[in-house]
Formats: sequence, structure tokens, C-alpha cells
Amino acid sequence: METLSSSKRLTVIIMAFVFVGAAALTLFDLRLASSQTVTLVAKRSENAIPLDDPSADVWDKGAPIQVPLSGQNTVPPRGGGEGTVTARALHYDGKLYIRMEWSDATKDDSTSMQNEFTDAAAVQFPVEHGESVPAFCMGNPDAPVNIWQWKAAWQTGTDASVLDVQEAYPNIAVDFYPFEDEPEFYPAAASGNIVVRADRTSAADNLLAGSFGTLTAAEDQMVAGMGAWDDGKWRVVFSRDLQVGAEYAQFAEGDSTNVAFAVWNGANAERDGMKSVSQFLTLEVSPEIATGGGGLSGGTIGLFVVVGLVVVAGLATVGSYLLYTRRQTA
Amino acid sequence: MAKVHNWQLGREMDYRFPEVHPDRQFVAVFNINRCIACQTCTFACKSTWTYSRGQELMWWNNVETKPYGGYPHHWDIKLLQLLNDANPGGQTWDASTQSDDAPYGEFKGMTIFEAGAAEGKDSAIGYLPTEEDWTSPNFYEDTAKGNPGVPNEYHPEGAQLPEHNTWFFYLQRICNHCTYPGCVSACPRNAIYKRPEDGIVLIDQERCRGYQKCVEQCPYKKSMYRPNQQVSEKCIGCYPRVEGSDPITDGVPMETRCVATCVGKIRLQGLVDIQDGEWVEAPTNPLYYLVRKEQVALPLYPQFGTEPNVYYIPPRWVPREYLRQLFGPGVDQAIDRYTNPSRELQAVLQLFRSTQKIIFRYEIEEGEEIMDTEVNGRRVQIFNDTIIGFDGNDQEAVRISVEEPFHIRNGEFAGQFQNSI
Amino acid sequence: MLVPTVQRIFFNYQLPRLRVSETLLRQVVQGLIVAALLEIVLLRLATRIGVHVPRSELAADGLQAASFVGSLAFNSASILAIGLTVLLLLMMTMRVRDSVARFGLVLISGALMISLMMSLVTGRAAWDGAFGLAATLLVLLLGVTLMARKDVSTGPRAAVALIVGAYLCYQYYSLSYITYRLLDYAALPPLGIDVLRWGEVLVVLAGGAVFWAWGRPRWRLAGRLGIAAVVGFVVIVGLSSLTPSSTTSILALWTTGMSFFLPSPVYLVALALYLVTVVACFRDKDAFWLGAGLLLLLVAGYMPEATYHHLLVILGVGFLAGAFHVVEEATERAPGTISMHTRH
Repeated sequence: METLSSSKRLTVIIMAFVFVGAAALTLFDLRLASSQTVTLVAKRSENAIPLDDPSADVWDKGAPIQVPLSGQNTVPPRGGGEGTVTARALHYDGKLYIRMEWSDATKDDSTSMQNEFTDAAAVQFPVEHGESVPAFCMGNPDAPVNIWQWKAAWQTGTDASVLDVQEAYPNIAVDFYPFEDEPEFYPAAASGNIVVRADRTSAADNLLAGSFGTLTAAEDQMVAGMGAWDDGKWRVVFSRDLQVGAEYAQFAEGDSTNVAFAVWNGANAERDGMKSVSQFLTLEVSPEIATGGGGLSGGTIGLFVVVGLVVVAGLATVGSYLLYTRRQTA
Repeated sequence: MAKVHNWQLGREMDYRFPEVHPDRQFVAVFNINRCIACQTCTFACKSTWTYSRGQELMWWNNVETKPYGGYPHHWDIKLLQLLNDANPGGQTWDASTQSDDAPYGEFKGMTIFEAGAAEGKDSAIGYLPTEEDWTSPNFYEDTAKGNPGVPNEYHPEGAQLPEHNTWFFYLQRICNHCTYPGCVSACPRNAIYKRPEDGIVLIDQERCRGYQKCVEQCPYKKSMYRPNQQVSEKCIGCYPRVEGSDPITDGVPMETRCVATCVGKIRLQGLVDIQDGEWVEAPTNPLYYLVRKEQVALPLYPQFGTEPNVYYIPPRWVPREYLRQLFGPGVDQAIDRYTNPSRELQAVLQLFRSTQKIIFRYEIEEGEEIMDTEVNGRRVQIFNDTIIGFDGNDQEAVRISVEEPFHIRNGEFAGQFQNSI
Repeated sequence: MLVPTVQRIFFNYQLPRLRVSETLLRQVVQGLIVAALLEIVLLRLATRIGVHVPRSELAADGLQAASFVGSLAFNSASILAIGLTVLLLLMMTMRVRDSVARFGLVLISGALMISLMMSLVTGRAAWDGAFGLAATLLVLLLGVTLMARKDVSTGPRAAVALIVGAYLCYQYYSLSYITYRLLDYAALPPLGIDVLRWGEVLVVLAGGAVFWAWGRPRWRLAGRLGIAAVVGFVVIVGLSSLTPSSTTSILALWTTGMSFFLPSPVYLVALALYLVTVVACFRDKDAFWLGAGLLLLLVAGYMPEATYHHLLVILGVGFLAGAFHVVEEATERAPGTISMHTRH
């Protein structure tokens, strides 16, 4: 019979081994765990993916995942709420494409009048994919995140830009603008503020952050983005080269990284931290060809239920066995 | 929330950031009594800074007719309503605790920050003006208060001092470059900052992402959204002029456009030194003198809690109760001192709009008595003193006497004038 | 025909008896709990609360250090969780005398450990799926075992049923995607989000059921201090959602993966009841395994993010189901029993 002290000694020895093992793993920046989150798989598309048609048929070939969203409640200004976003991903010709799809009863695509806020969406990746995933809220100072943000307002004007004054107010009458060509009278644009870049060719921005309040425009604007609202639904496509020559999130066939989603509802005056967010999920870029198809139609949902019932019944049987055994031994 | 000291309230208050002060603070004094609402200031500002596409609704400087006017419409009424809703009947002052450090006594009510915290909101209370609110910036121009209960009629005894029954006055408004700005505390991106060299509050046009939190939480509504730039902009205190980088004054700090162009000579603007969070005692700095020593100029809506740095000499003829709501409990003393000005005040008032250069210090050379009379039963003596203003290099910038010089023109130019036509 | 054959091949010999003292087990489990809590506080909480700390070099260094120690704790907890799971499975297997049941258990256990290893090494979806399925079956099995026991009253049955049910809901969401992926289906599995929401309801209900089952009979043991601490904690979490310096992130932490579609007081009440139960169980020296099980489930969260968290669910449900009961039989002594009964 063991005494307490001998068991204590054994515990100490076990703990010492555990600690040494853990320290070795930690020093090599490893975590003894494998992520089990839902995975968004980007397979190789055989067809080109049109950026100007987020509803294109090619997307049917990408496997969707439905991601729960909840309101951002960690820092002010809080906002957003419960919702879902359906995401699909594909890659084609060295470019990654991600499509987000979510319900929004109203199309809010202008910020060109007072009191207007735009619908928007974003995807977020850790800049460096490692064992430790940054906080899903805007990353950590030592583990920054790369954010691609699309805003509806950034594609409503002519040349897929923001609405200018004449477009927002067709009946406006202004005699003249004396400083029309002097950049200092457009200070945001002149200082290189990305929200108003005059050469905007994409409705999506490439951003970096390392915790709240640190969101900063990346030096290279390389993310394409385009959305379309139809019948209460936004579909937005993001696209970027898998590999880029700077310190942003990188993707490669066969590699995985993390991805999180956010959605803003302009009708609800959501902007900034007022948004609905997801946790980090896994994004895998697969070399397989996206063939699409499959899945269960309404009628075959029953199959799922039946399989489930069979499993439960089987386990119940095993359980009964256990009970039976127990009784016998008792 | 941090605790900061707000001398205008005579107490500590909650603010998002700990107390930090600039070395010098942009301060202006507007003499409401002299304003004729010519809007020269408004257009000087507009044509200098906001004449471009996307700024059509933007008036960094505006002059509105009180009690009804406001840009944006009813901005102050709406704020007062929000504060009253947050603290019904509690927005009062205790003037009995007046001292040099707390010249208006102690404010017992809630500031916009405290009301925000009490409502469980993230920072200050506020609202976003609508599109319509920003239109017709001079609506209710010259509209006087009517005869209560009698439509379409003015009070039969409308104009009788000390308080007119039929009255209006002009309120000149620019950004207050507050000590505890609502816009700074509102910005989730920390894109708004107060400059250490002059306390001017600026929106970093590179960092701003147009969330309009500052538009919502500036109680004076002097942050404005510029739609085609997707960012907010605000009065920049003509900082290149205040810095002295405008070539006209050869490197000497210079008054803002709205101040320098004032036809009615109602404006004086400058800088006061700040040390340990306090105004450094400088009795011959005209702004220090008017605000802290003579106390004839008062902050606008000090109860909002932002410690605004534009001060107003309140209009003599307006009912005091209304003025106390606008300028706090210092109103009666300020009007009394303004209507019966001391010898020094008579001289300092001459400095308004006398030079473009910012006056840092003045000297007074005494002159002879030119008038000894009685106004409202009180003896008033006027001395023809000469006041000399010194610029940022302590060089004489202006020399002006209380009695305006009297010039007699002979007819020598009359012919030329005719010929030229 | 097949079963007896397999039986002959695999089980017709005496398995070695595993002798583990309960004291030792308790001490190791305590180690796991300490490591798991450290991990959760240093890794997850520090980053979420850290955002409210003014930025400075000191704060940055502090966060860096917290992150390192947190990683150390995470790995320690993960090693311990794997070791304890192996032990749990061994004990369960040995306890089962029926060869078919034992065969089933061996199959599931083997699948769990092999898929865990392969998932850690390869990270392939198929192994993730196998691990998830094995973990689900094991948790279900543990739950069913408890259900089948006659000496368990309604409270614990309901509580374990809800906890297992919530886990099954999440696993349905998670595994249905893996299944679709393996089948190469480009479609949404049916009812994914709905099932996830039902699971969230079950989690909230579980808070109440846990209290009813194990907290109510011994809540006095939690003591004024314990109850005050729990109430204080929940009130702070609740009130903080009204203030700028939000610590509602703590709530988000507890409910990793929840979308908060129910009114927030419901979550707070459920959390309070659950925590009071945990405190009371730890104060009761006969209820150590209950307290440990409940705490591990709390750390695992509603959406277990990694293999480690799934192991915590298995251990948690295992402790609640009295799986280490076998200790007494193995060591043939009868120290503090693991009481699944509500005391009357």
C-alpha cells in the first residue's frame, strides 16, 4: 500500500517529465495540439473566376462553409450581432479567391451623404502562420494580422470608386471650385490616406493590425474585391496572388493558415469595431481540382438522420452491454 | 476613464485619457457685443480652407443668430436636451465656491463624458446631425425673440436695459480647440490629436477612416464629414499662421484668418503659456487678462466639460438666465465689468483686430482723462491711455490709444476721385 | 461466428492489472487543472484583457512573457491530457469484462489514439475526422454508460445528457464539414448552423442542470466566500459589458464559439450556477472528480478548437461519469468514493 509521501514523490517525478517535455516543445515554438476548427478549403479551379460577377457559376465548385458570427463585444465601440456568413474559396492561376455571402435586407453602398454608412466585409489572416494563432480581434502586437476589407461604398461611383459630389447630389449647383487641381485642398488624398486613394481600382483594401486601434493601410494595395447585392444577399469576392513579395499573409498549395470573417451592416450605422465577427477557422489551399457537385438535397437529409440514429442505437447497445457486465460483476 | 482637472468646472471630471497639456494653448476672445454678423470671418475661412469639392456643407467658422439659429440646426438645444435627459434637473452650478482657481464656482451636474459613462456608453454622449441639419447654415438670421404668448408680435417694451424683452445676438463659432476635446476621446483610431506646441486640435488626415465618431461626440459640432474624401475634417486653427510660417509676418505667430479679417474688430486671438496644467500667470497677456484676471470673457457651454478655449464677452442686453445657460455663472460679473470698464480694460479692448500679429504682451502708457460721466447711475472715467502690443519676438507690433485719432481730410483727394470716374 | 473468433484471438488471456493509486491520479489531475487554467489565463485572457492595458514597453514585455509561460502551460496540459486519456481508456477497457464491449472499446480507443497521433503529425482532414468521430463516440459512450447505470439519479443524468448533447451538436457541425470534404461535396451540410444554435441552448441549460445535479445538494459547502467570489465575478462580467473597459471578453472566453443569440443575462446566470457548483464540488473532498470534470469542460469550451480541448471534454465527461471508479477495484482499497449520487 502506497503512502501519501511516496505517491507525492511519484507525482513530482511525473510532473518533472511533463514539464521537460513541455519546455522542449515550447522552445521549438510547437504546440502539442492540432487545430480542429472547421476548414475552408480552396481547391484549384479549372475555370477563370470573374471578379465582376460574384454570383458566377464557377463558385458552385467551391465547397462552402457556414460560419457563425457574433457581435464584437471586447472593446468599444461594440456592435454587430448574431449572424452567419457562408464562405467559399478557390484558387486559379496563382491567385486565391474567397467569396463571402450573407443576408442583408438593405443595400447600403454609399457614404457620400451625411449619416450614411456602408455595408462592408473583411477577411483576416495571421501575417505569419505559426503554432500560436493571434487573437481573432485584430491580432496581437507580436503577432499581427493581415486584413482585407471590402466596402460597398468603394465601388458605387463611376470607375468603381466612391460617389463623387455630383453623383450623390445630381442637382447640386456650385459656381466653381477655385482649388480644383490643388492637392492640398484634398488633404486625406494628398497625405496618402488609403480610404480615399484617387487611383482606387479595387473596392478592397490591404490592411495590417496588431491589436485594437492599430489598423493601418499596408504599403502595397494588392487585393481585388467586388461585391454584388441581390435580393437581400451580398456576395463579395476577394482575390490576391497566393504568394506576394512582402510581409503579408502567404498562401501555398498544400499549406494551411487561419481565417476569420467580419461583416458590417451600414443600415445599422455599423463601422469600426461595431461589427459581427467570427472566430479563427482554418483555410487550406488544396492542389486538388474543384469539381463541385454532391451534397444532400432536401430529400436525402433523412439519410443523415437515419445514420445518426443508427450510431446512437449502436452505442446504446454497447452501453447496455456495459451495464449488463457491471451487474454481473456486481 | 481617467480623472482630469477642469478649471472651468472647478473640479475633477472623467475623461478617456489622463491629463496632458500642451506647452501653449490657442485661445481666442470674441466680443459678442460688437459683432454685426457681416460673415466676413465666415467667408475668409471658407475661401481659405473649405472651398473645394466635398466641402459644400462645411463652415469651420460660422456666425449664427441666437436664440433660434444654429449650425447645424439646434445643435446646442439638442445637446442640452441630451444632458438634461441624462441628469434631469441636475445641471446646476454652485457659484458660492468661486476662487481664482475656480472662477465660476463648481459645476454640480454631468459633463458629456460623465453622462456618457452613466448611460453605459463608451465615451461622450452626442448625436449625428442629419443631412438637413447641416443645410441653411444661417437659418433664423436676425430672428428676434417674440412676445411670449402673442404670435407675430414683438414685446411692446422690447428694448430696455439691462435686459431686452425682444432680443437676439450673434454667436461666432469656430472649433474651441478644447483642453479635453470630445472628438479626441471619441476617435477609436486615435487619429485626432492636440498639438503640444499650441494646443490646436487636428484630425490626422492620413489615419482617419471616416467613422464619424468625432462628428457624433464633438458637442460643438465642429468636426464635419467630407463625403467625397471619406474622412472627417475640422477647423485647423489656421496653424500655419499661428506657427508663424506665413511669409507676411516674417516668422512671427499670426492670428487666424477669421480673426484677422474681422470687420467689427470683435476678435482677439493668441496663445497662453501652460505649466503643470495651469495657465501661467501673465497679467499683461491680453488673453490671460481678459479671461483669467478681468474675467469679462467666458467659455461657451462650459458644462459640456471639454474646457473650450474660445471665450466670449457676453452681450449686455440679453436676459441673464439665457446667458448663464450659455456661459455659466460668470455672466453677471462679466457684463458688469464690461459695461463699467476699468481703465486697463478700456485699453486692452483697443487691441482687438489692431494687427495680424499675435500679441503676447502689452504695455500701457497712461494718458490724460478725456471723459468723466455717468452711465446707468455709475461714474465712468475714460482715459486716453496708449496700449502697445508686442509680438512673438517681443517687438512692438501695434501702438493704439483709447481715443480714436481724429483725422481731418482736406479736399485734395476729392478731384482725383472724380477724375477716376 | 466472427465475434467468438475475434474473442479467442484477442481476449482469451488475462490482461495485466493496472495499479494506480487514486491519490496519485488526483495529484496528476490537479496538475492538469493548474496547467489548463494557467494556459487559459495567460494565453487567451491576457491577449483579450491586454488590449485595455495602455501600450508601453513594460506591458509588451509582460504580454510576451505571459505568452511564453502560457505556451509552456498549454504544452504541459496537453501532455497530461494525453497521458490521462490513455490511462482512462486503459482503465475502462480493463473494467469491461464482456469481450464484445471490450473489443468495441479497444477499437474506439485505438482509433482515438492513432488518429490523434496522425492528426498531430499530418494535420490531414481524414485523421481530424477520425479523431473527431472517435472522440464523439467515446463521449457518447461515456454518457450512455452513465445513463445505463441504475444508481444515478435524474439530476446527474440530465446534466451529463445536456453536456454530451451540446458536444454532439458541435461535433455534428464540425464533422459534417469533414465528411462533405472527404466525399468531395461542394455544398452546405444540412442544418449546420441550426444544430450549432441548439447546442448553444444545451450549454446554457447545462449550467442550470449541473447546479441542480451537483451544486444544489452541496452549495452550502461553497461557503460565503466562494459564492461571493462567483457572484462577484459574474456581476463584474455583467456590469463590465456596460462600461468601456470591457471584460465581457471573459464571457466570450468561457463560451468560445458561442454567438450569444440568447439574452445575455441567461448566459450570466448559467455561468454563475455552473461556477458555484464547481466551487462547491472542490470544497467537498468526496466530489473532487466532479469538480475536476466540470472545470475541464469549462476550459474546453463549447467549440473545442484543438485536439487538446477535445481530450479535455473526454476527460471531463469521463470524470463526471465516474470512469476512474475503477481505481478502487484496481487497487482494492476504498478511499473517498467518487460520488455520483446527490446527497440527501
